[in-house]
Amino acid sequence: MSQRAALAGVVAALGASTTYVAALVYELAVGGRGDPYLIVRDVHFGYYHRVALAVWVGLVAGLLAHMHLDTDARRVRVETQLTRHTLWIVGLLAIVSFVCP
Amino acid sequence: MSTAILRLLESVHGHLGALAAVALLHPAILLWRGRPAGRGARWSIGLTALLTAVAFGGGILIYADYRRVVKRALFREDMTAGFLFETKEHLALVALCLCLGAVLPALAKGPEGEGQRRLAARMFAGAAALAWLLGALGVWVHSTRGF
Repeated sequence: MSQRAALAGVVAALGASTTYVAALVYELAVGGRGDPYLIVRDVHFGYYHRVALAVWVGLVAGLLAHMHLDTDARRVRVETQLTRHTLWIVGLLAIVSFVCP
Repeated sequence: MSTAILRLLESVHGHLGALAAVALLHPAILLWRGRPAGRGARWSIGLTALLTAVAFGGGILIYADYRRVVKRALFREDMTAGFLFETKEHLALVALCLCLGAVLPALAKGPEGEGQRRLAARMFAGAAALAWLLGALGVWVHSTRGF
């Protein structure tokens, strides 16, 4: 497996995670928080919808990254940036998940 | 599914999640300084990813019944616990993505793969931190209401 493909996989994973949380925030921003007592099980497919959307966007982000990372210089730059910022991104996603449950 | 089976699956899901939280620490520590993964470390990486995926899959398996049986009652009993469960769902997906995304860079070989292994270690560490948080949230929610 090439390093380029591995790095594209990392971008896909972080892209999917970020997309999921962004979709969550978007849903709350547009629709507001519904009354939890009115939850109807048959129409509550928000979770599956967000997961599917996140997987698709993650895959597209991974493919784009794979196309973009065609030189060693680019690969090293992205790798360094991701190593430096990954834990911050995770922390941010966790905080947003708590604020927008 | 009957309530007894759901309780069993819920328990198995919780135990696998706890195991995954511990297992995720192992590749994070092994790869932190970017050293190449030996045979044992490669097994550790693969099994950790498998365990995390199975724990997540267990949660997905019982999610539909959770919505049907538990969710409304949970919100009625304790609104905070209900929303914490929602947070747990979100964080679980992020932890799974981080873990699976870290597998390929963790297996990078040679000195030129050092940066990728360091990156993989950070991703495993992030996934481990989230998994521990998920465990705490799971215990909180379950102590309020389960199947």
